[in-house]
Amino acid sequence: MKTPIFVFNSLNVKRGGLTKAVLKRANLLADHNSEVVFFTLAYQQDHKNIIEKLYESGQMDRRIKVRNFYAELLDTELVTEPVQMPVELPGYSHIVDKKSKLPAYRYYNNGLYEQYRRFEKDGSLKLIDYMDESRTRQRREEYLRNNRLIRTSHMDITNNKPKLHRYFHADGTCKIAVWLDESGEEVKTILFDQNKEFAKVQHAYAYWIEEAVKSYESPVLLSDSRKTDETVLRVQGDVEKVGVAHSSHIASPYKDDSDTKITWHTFFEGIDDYDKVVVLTEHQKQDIISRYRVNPDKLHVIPHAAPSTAPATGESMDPHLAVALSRYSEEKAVDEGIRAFRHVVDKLPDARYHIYGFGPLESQLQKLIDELRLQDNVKLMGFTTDPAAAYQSAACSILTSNYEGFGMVLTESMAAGTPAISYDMKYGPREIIRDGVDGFIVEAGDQKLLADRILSIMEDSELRREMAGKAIEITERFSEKDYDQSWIELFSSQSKPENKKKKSLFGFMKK
Amino acid sequence: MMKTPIFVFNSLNVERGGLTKAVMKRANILANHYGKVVFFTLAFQQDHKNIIEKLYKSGQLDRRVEVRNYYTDLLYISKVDKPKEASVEAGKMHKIQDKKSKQLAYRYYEDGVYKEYRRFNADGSLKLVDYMDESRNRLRRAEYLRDGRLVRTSHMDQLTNKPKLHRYLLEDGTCRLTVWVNPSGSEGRTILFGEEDIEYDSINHAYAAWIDTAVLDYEEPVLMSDSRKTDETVLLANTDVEKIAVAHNNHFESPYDESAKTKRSWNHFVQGINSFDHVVFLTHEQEKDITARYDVTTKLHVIPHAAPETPAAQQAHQPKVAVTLARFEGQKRLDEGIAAFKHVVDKIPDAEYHIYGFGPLEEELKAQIKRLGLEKNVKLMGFSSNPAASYQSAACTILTSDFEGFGMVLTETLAAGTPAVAYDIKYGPKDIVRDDIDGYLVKKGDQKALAEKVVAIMKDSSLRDRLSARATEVTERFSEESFKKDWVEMFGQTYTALEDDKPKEKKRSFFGFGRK
Repeated sequence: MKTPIFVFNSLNVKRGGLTKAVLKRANLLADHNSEVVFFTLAYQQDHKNIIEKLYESGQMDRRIKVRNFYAELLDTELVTEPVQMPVELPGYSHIVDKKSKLPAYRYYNNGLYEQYRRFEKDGSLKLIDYMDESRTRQRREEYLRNNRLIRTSHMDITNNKPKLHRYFHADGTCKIAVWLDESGEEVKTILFDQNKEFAKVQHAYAYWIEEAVKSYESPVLLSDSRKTDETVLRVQGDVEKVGVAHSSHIASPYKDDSDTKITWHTFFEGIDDYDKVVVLTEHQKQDIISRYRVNPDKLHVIPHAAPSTAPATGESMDPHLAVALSRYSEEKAVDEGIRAFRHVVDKLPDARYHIYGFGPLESQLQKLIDELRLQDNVKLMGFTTDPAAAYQSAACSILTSNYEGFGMVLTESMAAGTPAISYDMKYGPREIIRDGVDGFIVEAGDQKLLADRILSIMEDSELRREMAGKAIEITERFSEKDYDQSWIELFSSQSKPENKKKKSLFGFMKK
Repeated sequence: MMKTPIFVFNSLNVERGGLTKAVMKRANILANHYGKVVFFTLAFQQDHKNIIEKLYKSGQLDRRVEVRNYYTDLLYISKVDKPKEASVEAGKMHKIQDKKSKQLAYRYYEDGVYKEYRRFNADGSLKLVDYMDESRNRLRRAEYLRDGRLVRTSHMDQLTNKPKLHRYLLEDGTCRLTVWVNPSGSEGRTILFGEEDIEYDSINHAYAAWIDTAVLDYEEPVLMSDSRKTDETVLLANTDVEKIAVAHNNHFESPYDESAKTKRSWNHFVQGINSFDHVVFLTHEQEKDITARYDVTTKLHVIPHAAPETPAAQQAHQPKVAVTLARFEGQKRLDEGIAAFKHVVDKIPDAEYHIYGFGPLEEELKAQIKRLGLEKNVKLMGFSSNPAASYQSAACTILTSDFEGFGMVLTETLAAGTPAVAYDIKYGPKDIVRDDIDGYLVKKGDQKALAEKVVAIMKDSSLRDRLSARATEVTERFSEESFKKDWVEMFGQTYTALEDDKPKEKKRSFFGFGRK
């Protein structure tokens, strides 16, 4: 039986969509595979305790094993009894750092600022910074909650950033040293027990993985982030590899002829070495095929499942209200929807548009609303904890992003029975919305047409009702069952594809 | 109960510019009318107590004016009467004299490694020691009082060789105060060590806390902020204490008029203006500009500098000579006056323009004079030790500065009986010069108009006489008496002229407080 191994940067309790999607998949596979494993790569001071919390909170199935590069090489233990450390330091005056969320103090030795110590809430020591007499930071020491020194970082005095990390075993010997270049990249890495030096930390990760996979039956490495491609692709030996796309690979302005994002170059250069590549949409699959010389058979489309949602009662629906749920950030192009709404209000003065979210562009968007004199119509509502209710309050939802990985908000809106009107962008709308059936697709940038479509739903209650009825079919079209089955099958198929090590004639090719 | 005027001031010293002189003059006047007049100085001065003693001795500061300093107070520093002579030898280290240092100084080498640099005061006491690391980067500087007490160590940033941290030490060597220096040079986080250690967000917060305690020693204290550097500190001090801000300079960025933004250094002043109980300006024009831009509800005053009483000219003036007394620096825009003078020379080929002063732009001005072929007409005269005589040698005085705080040179020249031709810049000309009565105001930058007025005065001796006769009225219009009265009454006392502050002040004010 195959063993799915997620090669992932790091897991944590509060994380974004990618971590959630990966954990969901791992939990699913744990029901069908005897072993499911995470290989996490990044150093986390509190690694073992974080993983324990993920188990405890139910976010991660206990059958899933998590191994970490540093935790393993350093023999890091799960700390159950934190060691209380005194705040006082004999011979020093200590003054609280008012800006630190955790308890932290500056230590002065007869007026010289020599140390900074930060503590965990449980009273254990988290870190110590050591300063020279001119209060320039020399190094930072990080401790496990049992007061074991785990890492020292040695600072570049010109920019106060680490130039060298040293990682320690419980016996105090240094097991790993990592050099950092000026941009903060981790480059030269030395593993002292193995007597090995690597040019980049990713090479050391790959070396570790090559050994670690030996304890599993038919290991399959998954790379879910473009940050892990380099490591996964470098792993030698008889290992299956799966690359998973979660976002668009196309750079601004996100058109057919736009460049590929720099962060994706490693992925496409190594695509021949992935046995399977999973994308969220057919549209992205086609774009990859038309841009790169790649065997279409290795590309699998597995979309996100639409959430099952309690049906709308229709009582709270305001026929002249539209909504959007979106971060207030550049790529979401929320301003497009606002501008389009000016046209809506010109025709339908009491039409309103509620935009739920938060983000850096809040004040800019409010300014735009004021400039367009839409204060009475368009409202920035802040973050909503009940998306379904937000969708169900409105006649339709609007999506005008520059790009999406999948456009989960579309399936969410439709599952709630609210038709979606979306710009036709990469990726999601084309596959999720059936134009004229359960919503509308509008050419990106055509604010007038977008406005017309919104008006057609707002002014025609019959059309709205029809579309709402069709919209909820989304939970069938993108069902949990299909999602589960697709992923389970991916790890149950016996044979590797034929062309595993056969490079395509022209190798990596970019259009 | 009588009020106690307290000057919150950065630092006093013997050789200082116009601001320090103006402030000490005011303190001396107030000392005649108030039981107590005090300076709270804030900056660290290694030799503070001795400097203040010199100010008393030289008569620049009335002995009745008390001076307290933040560091001196907190570190319990007393005046050193007997300097402790220090040996220039340092164990077995080799010493080599630093020939470039004005004071005696040596570099000390141990086995070829440069370890220390020591500098000595003229009285033989040790002033400071710099300590180097083996690659001769300076690690720290130790500064000593003349009695040999280590008072401060400054710990250097290896990259910039500038202090990143100062430590101030008590006599027993324990640290009383640590001050962090920011990359910009401003002093930030400050920790006062004692029974309870106190951290302040910036040195100004620490100063304000000290002031809050120090004012308790005085009856009805009134804090004065005469420099924009002290505004934040004074505003941070206890709000129950009366506060006065005094403006001494133009508050605009270039081009220094109402089309410009307010200078950043004035932020605390304009934002906190209504937290001051009184605000004093030197000119009505500046008062007007501030109230036009800001919503001011506090009490405003205009108290200009007094014009110096000046004896009448001993000799006739030279009818074809114009003068300017100014430092040779950008603000004074002497190039404008020189360029304008080209037009004067076109009309009066033997007209001369004498510019008294010194400064960084000397070479540039010389080059300009040469370029315009004015070597025979425009002369850079060097520093004038007798400004009255310099003014009185000429038909008129020219002022073409970009900006001024008050334009003391205008009251000086008018007091000497020499009419002024000035660009109408901010601030001073409009308040001081009465157009066509005791001089002329010309639109800033209008060189031709300026030249025309200079030519008119040079060519028409009856005009010059008419303007000159009215010019000396400046000593009535800006009288010493009303200056004293306004300031004395600011703190509630009724002003009556005292013998004490009459004759001495007058003479000194001109030659002592004149422009340097």
